[in-house]
Amino acid sequence: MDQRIQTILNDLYQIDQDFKQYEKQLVKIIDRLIKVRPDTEFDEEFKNRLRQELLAKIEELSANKKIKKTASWLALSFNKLAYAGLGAIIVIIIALPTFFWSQSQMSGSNGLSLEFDAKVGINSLANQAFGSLVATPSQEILADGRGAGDGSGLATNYIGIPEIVGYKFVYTGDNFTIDDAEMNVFKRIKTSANASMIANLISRLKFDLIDLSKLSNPKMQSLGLMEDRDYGYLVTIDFQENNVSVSQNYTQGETAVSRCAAGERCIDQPLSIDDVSNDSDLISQANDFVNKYAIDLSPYGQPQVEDSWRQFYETDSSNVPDIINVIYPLLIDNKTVLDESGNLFGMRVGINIRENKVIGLWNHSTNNYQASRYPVEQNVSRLLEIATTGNAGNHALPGGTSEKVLEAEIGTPEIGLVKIYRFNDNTKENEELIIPALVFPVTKIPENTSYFQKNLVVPLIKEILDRYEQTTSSLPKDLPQVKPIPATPAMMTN
Amino acid sequence: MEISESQIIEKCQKGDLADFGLLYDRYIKKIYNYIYWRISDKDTAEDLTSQTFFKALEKINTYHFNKGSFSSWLYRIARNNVIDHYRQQRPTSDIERAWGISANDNLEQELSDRQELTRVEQYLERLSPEQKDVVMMRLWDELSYQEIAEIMGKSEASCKMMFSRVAGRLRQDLAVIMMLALLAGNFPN
Repeated sequence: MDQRIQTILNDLYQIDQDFKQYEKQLVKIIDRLIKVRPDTEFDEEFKNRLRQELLAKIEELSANKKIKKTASWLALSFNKLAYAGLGAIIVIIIALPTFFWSQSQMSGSNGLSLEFDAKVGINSLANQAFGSLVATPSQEILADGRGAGDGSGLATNYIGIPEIVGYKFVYTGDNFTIDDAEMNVFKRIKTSANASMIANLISRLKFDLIDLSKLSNPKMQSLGLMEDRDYGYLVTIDFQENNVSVSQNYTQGETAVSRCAAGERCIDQPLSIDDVSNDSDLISQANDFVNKYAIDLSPYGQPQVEDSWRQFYETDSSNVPDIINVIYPLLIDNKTVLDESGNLFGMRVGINIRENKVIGLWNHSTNNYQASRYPVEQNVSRLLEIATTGNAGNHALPGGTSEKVLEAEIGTPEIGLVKIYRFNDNTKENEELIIPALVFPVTKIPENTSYFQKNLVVPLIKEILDRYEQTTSSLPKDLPQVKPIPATPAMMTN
Repeated sequence: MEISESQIIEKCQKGDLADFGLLYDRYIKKIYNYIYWRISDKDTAEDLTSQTFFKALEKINTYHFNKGSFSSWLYRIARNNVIDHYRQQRPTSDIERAWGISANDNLEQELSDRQELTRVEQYLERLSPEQKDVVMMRLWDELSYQEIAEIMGKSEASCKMMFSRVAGRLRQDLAVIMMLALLAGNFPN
């Protein structure tokens, strides 16, 4: 007998033992009463939509709470300044540092501070809490990474119609298994609380040009701060994307152009390999910079020098770039995060080799994630099929096309994480998802190829693989023949 | 690291609402189902579910651990929303229907045995609204007597008593039981 029915019967027997003589009939009637329970048409789309609405409300409530806490002392500061007859610009100049100073002072006592923390925070949700990971068929969510021209900035520069090239991957690694039936998918959560809070503070300032208090639900988009010195930096805080970037302030200080005019090496003079410091020196230079500005490195793994430019250098020794990046790879759940082309994803520090100077820092973001488990593909044959046919990164040509197909070799994969984007139809925003994936090292690149990715990434999420197969099966079987046009290597930012 | 429900609630009550989503994930389907079974309309059930969670978010400071479980508190908000809905949308007498089984066309179409549903409905209509509510919470929402008591603002004993009265009527209405069993096709001779 169903345990649930038994429990209900026991309840009845506790009330009246006489029920026992009607047990068979009671079992049937309770069973029927339970079975006529209607299906409720519960809709995952509704669940996700309501979640977004609640999230927005939470951000609003959080922002309002902070504004109330700061309103009293801010009002005092602003009124005094206004009465002193200082101009609106001066108010901004004084009020903002005052605000940030005050925030830092208060944060030690009552936790009042901007929620801009790089530390990785993960909240676990129920299984498949993000709904479908492939919301619309048109989304480009699969790992991408063509042999050339994949947006890396180092790819081949085509004039006119590119030569159509497909890639096949020969698997040379060991046997492997996928042990887990489900794995975590991470969704980055951005907050607009800071944007609302700062905007509300700013809108209290009096400007002659415009009355900011008339703005409805104002939000600060970004904030830029400049070092007023030669060779200083510009810091941009993006409140929408929840990240911070630093770039060189070119308006002050000598530039390569001005030094060239003064007789030093000109910007159009090519660099040689001797101009490039060794990796450890580049990393030290980057570390000095991040330490100077107290950049939180806790979400990142060991920094590495991005050396993909060396593939170009091997084919042409004049291909030494002006800018070399040191990347601090993002770690989530102790796993390295890659981008869809199999490159390390994380914070980048750019070093100008010609000037021997850090030129900026990018992609330093908040790292708040929700985690939810999704079914993964455990069928190794299917995964290898997707990887080796070149389908994982749209490397394969549609059936029937007789253009060039090149072969690369890939070794034993590891399970890693890859960052993809999902367009949310409700919010009209791209959501950042970190999904589990097999990362195959490319052990041999195709012959006569100037640049090729280091890793091939195959998503492990079943739903994404299913959608991929639907997408590729709908590709046209015959493409018009395209005459290849000779390609020219791109200039390396010289 | 797992975080307990009481820890989440405490954090939310201190103003850190970031983990409210965990409560949402835990209860969204249960609350939606609870409302749907009493409204039998998908759009209205979604509206009332939204209202329930927004109220819970805004009023979470008013929840007291010593006054019952969070689950019961949430169901109580949902129940009040359902009652308010019937008060606003229909004549007072129809409030009782909130606790019956709706027999609208959509629902009937989705059930394989329309006749049986009608019989069950007719039978349940003979119960008082509160009795029906107890039966539904026990059989459909799968709630314990303690939870039912907290939701209804009654004692556990009185809820059990209500159920016993329904059970008593089950005995008295054996004919109905037989009829339902016959409809099921396997009533013993």
